[in-house]
Amino acid sequence: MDRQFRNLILLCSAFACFTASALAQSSVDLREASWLASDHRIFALTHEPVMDRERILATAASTPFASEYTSLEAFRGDLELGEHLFKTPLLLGGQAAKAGLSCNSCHVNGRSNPAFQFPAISGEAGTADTTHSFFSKTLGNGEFDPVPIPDLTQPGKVSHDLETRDLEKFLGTIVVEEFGGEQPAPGVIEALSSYVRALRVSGQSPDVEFRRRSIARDLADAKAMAGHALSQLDEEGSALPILLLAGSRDRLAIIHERLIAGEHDTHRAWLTERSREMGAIQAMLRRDASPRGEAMRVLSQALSGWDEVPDFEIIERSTYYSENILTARNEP
Amino acid sequence: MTEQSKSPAFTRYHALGVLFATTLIAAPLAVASAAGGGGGGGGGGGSAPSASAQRYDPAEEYRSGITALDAGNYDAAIRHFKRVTRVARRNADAQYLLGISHLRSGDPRRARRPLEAATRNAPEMIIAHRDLAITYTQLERDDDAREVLDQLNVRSAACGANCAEKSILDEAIAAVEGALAGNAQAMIGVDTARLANASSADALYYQAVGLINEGEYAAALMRLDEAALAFGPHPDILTYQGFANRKLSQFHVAEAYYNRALTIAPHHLGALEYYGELKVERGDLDGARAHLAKLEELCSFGCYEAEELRTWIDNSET
Repeated sequence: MDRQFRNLILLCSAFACFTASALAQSSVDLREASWLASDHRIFALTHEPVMDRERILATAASTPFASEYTSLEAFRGDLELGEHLFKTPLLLGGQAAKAGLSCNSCHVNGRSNPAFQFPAISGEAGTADTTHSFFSKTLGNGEFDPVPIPDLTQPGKVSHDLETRDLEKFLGTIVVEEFGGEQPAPGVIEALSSYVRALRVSGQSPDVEFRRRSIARDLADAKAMAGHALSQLDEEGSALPILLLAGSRDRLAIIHERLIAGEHDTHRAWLTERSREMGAIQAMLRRDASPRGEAMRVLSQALSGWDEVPDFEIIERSTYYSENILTARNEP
Repeated sequence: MTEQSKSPAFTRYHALGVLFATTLIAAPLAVASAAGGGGGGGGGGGSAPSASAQRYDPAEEYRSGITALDAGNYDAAIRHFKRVTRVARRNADAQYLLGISHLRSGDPRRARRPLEAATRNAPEMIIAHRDLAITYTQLERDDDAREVLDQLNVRSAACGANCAEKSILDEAIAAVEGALAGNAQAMIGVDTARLANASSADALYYQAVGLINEGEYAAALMRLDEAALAFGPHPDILTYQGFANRKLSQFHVAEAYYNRALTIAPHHLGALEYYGELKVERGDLDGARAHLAKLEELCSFGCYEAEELRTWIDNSET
């Protein structure tokens, strides 16, 4: 009996070792990991530059371009819209959208991204060949000439002059020519430009301060994007609300892939359900651009469902938002 | 791309369909073999055969072969490529590299058959013809080498001065002529260091996609062939081989590639999208909608592939 018991213990220990080993060796398949340099990866996956929206708004509000808006609220709305679009991969289209890259992937919260290293497109970490034909149908120059990714809060080479509107032209070129995106819907380039202008005048130090990434912030972004889509339903055309809903779904995807199947299934299901709801609204808007009232009603109802959000804070430490969990999994 | 090189491309990758259909059946045995035989438990680490079949990865075996070949570990390389060819009897890339492994180990006699098989299964694979001819010269079968040389010359003449394969054909012809003239330094094999290096092999793929973006589809197909030589059967590469052929209006060839990709990876978003677009081009909107429905089911959080295919369908309807 003792011998049988000892054998059972040995068997259980062996199984436990095998399981632990298998867990330690299993890789973490996060989309962002594919464009992050291996030696910076875990930090970059779990941290982001600090961003103080209120400060950016307050600083930008006192500059000439804010006077183009009728009210501070209108200005705030456009800055928020610009930020949402900045974080939406679908805006870029082509290979970038397929990979899940948005403007924010290279310019995290408007700064640079020293960990960015897209295969064959980057040289050193923090660089990108913006004239590589992998992304661009028209700007490929046949040479591998990556350049450092600029910090948009600092002075740069593109003029922000309000007379010439060089920035608007530049951003239009980036979307359509550098990344092969669709011609942006009315208001898109304007909002992006306002956001980028606000970043440059925000008076931030070149030294970047980092904070931990959190589910709460990503979720707030997703909800704000969906909320902005709702407000855009008052306007003409459905392209912009559809794009914003795509951005919102993408933020939910970022959270979803960081929750572990088998451990966080309730939370994963909640995220999937929210995304499916927004997908249904996108489909409704595509079918017919006119039923604004119905789309607004369904989206409002869907957004009210977000109030019953499961407690993500409790699980965050056991997800891939945690540096420890990612480190334990060794190679994300 | 010349007419001459169109159908061989299909022939070549028709083999991959057989390859993966066979792989699913043969996988449990292959896993057991790779693990040193194993005991009971189904040969798949205790899992059901269907589960272990999914885990068996001929592409991984193929990459191991390339690593061994580059390291000069020819016995191991031969072992790896033989395993791939055992379940993928018509995979020309594995056959070619098996031949090269034998050649580098100083055994042209054993290299001949896999190289012949590679040229048979992939008539468009110029380097396989070149190295088979050089192998013939080493076996003192110069008449056979001259026959291959003649074929290369015919192909070069058909190719014309500006075709994408021109420089490779010229190099191959010069190498075979050199071997026939007794030049022991005749070019043989491939740059295995480049193939073994994951970054440079990735670069082939990215260059190919870049060429596709520039509309250089024939040149892209050549890069994709190189990438296929580096990675073996890979759904991303097969998908773009399908895409480039589609853009060259070779719809049947394209369809074969998409099917190969989806056989390996039934949920491959790119293959589903591009195959759906092909169906739109053929007027099969119901088929395209079925692809879109599949993409929407797979993309719980939305995906660009679904957006693109939807646009294709919408545009064709309007």
